[in-house]
Amino acid sequence: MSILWKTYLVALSGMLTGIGILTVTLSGQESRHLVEQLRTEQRLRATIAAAQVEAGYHEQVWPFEMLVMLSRQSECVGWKVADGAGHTVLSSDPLGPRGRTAPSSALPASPYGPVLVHSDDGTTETWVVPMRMRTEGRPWTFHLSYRGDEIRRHVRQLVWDNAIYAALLAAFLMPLSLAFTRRAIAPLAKLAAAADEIGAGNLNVALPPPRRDETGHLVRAFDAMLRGIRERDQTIQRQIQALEILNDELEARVLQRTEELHKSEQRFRRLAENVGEVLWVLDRQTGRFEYVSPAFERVWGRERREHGGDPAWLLATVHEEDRDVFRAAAERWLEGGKAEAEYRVVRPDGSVCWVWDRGFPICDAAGQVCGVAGIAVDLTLRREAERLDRERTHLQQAVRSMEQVLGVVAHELRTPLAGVRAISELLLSGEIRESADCHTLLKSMNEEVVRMAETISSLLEAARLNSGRARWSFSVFPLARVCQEATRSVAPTTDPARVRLVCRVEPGDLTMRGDENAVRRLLTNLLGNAARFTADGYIEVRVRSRLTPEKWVEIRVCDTGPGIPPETLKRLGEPFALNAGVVGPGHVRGTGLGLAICKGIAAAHGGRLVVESAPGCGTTVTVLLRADLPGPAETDGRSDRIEVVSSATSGEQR
Amino acid sequence: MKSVLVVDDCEVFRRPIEMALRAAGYRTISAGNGQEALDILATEQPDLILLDVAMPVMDGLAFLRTPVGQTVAARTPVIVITALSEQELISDACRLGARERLLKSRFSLRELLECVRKHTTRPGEPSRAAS
Repeated sequence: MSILWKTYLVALSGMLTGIGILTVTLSGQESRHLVEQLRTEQRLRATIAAAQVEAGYHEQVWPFEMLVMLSRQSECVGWKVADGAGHTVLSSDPLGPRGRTAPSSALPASPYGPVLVHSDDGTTETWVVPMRMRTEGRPWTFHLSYRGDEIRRHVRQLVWDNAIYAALLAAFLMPLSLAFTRRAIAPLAKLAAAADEIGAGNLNVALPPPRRDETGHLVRAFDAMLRGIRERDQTIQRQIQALEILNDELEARVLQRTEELHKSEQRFRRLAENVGEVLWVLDRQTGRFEYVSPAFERVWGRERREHGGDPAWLLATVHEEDRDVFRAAAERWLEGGKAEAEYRVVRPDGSVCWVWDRGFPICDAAGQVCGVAGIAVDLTLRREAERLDRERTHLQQAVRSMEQVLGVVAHELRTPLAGVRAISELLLSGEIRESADCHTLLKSMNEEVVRMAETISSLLEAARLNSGRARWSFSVFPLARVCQEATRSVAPTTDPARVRLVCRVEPGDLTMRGDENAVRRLLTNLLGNAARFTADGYIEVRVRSRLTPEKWVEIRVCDTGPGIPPETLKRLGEPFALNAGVVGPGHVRGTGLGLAICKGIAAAHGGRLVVESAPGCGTTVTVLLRADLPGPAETDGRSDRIEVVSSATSGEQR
Repeated sequence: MKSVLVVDDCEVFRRPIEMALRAAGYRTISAGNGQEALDILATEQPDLILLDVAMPVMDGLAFLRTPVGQTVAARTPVIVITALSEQELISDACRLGARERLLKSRFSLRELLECVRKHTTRPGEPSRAAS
């Protein structure tokens, strides 16, 4: 049964109890009253009937029953009946002095309104209520009177009675309702305790057994809720377990990764600290070097902590001429780009080291450039390797030159040697009987032997000059003397009738500082060449002073020979290569050693050789020599080349 | 009398050879290079040519490559005498018609004369050409 119904039942029983009490209390008073009223009623009926007859009305015209009923009312203290004219026909006075009938004139103007009438001494007050009626066509009025104090007493009595009954009722109902409420809310209290337990985390609480009322619904709902909470709790527990496993895995992976990173960094450190090159990392945010490997100390000759990651400090260690290069590269690096620079580093001891530095951007996981890594390589070894490479190339060239020399020797010596052998064989065979022929052959043989000896000494001299091991004896000497000696030595090989030899030195007392014998040899060689190829015309030697900031001597040897073809002219600069492997039109008489020697002599005197020639235009060889060198100029005799100018291209005609 | 054309730019070599050939009964004609040889061949018909390779103006191989050189080499024995030992040059010369080659480095007049005799004597003919 629901609580609502129980409440209704309690209220109903209370009400019935009250009614019972009232009934018992009132029944005694009522029976006494009833007897009294019956007697009064009999008297009243008789009085009314008599007054009615006396007033001329038929019997039973007046509301007799009503009057009787009114007279029963304890509050009614009197009544009277008045006719249409307002005269009292009958009043309650004959029944005893229970009130005073108000005079007709005192009747209130309003026929229906009650009127309060005070007694003369003012101690009592009476309410008079008029009721107008009409019987048998005649009007009459019935007045009822009530005592005011009596009504008030009655009302008070009623209030008190009701208060007492209410108190009694409350006293009876209170324990009942308390018991009922306690019993009704007992499951609620258990539910509240269970809720507290659940709040504290205990989900295994026992719920009260569900009743068949609202608490039953509540308990069942609570139970369902609890089951839901338990399921959620289990789900959460499972999730927590899964998360814990995941967390453990993650922690293991983090540990592993950390270890890997540590190993990786160790590897990098080992690499960076043992590698010969300087590895560095530049932070773009701060613009400073984060890391510089220990090789820095070897290359820079300074301690690593000195730089403090400051690029400006590093710039100060760079050679003044290379600072712009370094600065440009550093700016490019800070912009996040690739750049490389080759610069010199000046060590504290003043030594200079060439460094090739290359930086490239490094990106983070998001692909943003976060820094620059670089490698600075000490080029000393590379430079040394390059030097060795050059040396090797020189050696290879030297070997090739040697082969060419051998070729020259083969050609230039074998042919005359074979000739000499043939002559000697011929002479020994005795088949040449005429003394003139014998003489011719012997003379020819002698010339050839002398020429071969000259070739061999030229070969040795050229080799000596080219090896840079020549010995020089520098002194001041007059050029006129040397010039005349050289001309004299060449004169016998020319036909004075056809070739004119001219020697001019300006000024006549011109002197220079150098190796006199070498300069004479140079002039002799040049004149010898000119004489060999000039059959007609002239050969001119002109020596003069040329003053640029330095003091120079210019020697020009001109001839009117056939000139040198361009392809031969090209080969003049290559020592020993004049005829190597060349046959046919390009084949030249001579070894080419003379010019090679001249070139070496000019180089030792800080000068150079210029050959101008073209077929049919003769040849001019100009030698420029420094006139004031204290000793031989530094030269290895290899890098100097003979400058050749084809007159056909220069347009110069002699 | 059989004639021999000697082509060599080196006079000191050419002269004893010519003398020896003359002493052996040959008529000799001299040329300083290939071009001179071509000029001479316009009027002369030698029985044998002694040819140097390395010469100015026109070398021996260039001479053999000319149409005249080719015609002459086909009917006249050509003996190449060279100071150059390059195998390539020598094989070139042989391909161009040279019958024999002699090296200046191992040169002897006797050998040369025997070689000349061999190439100027037809089978059955007396060995002394000049006799």
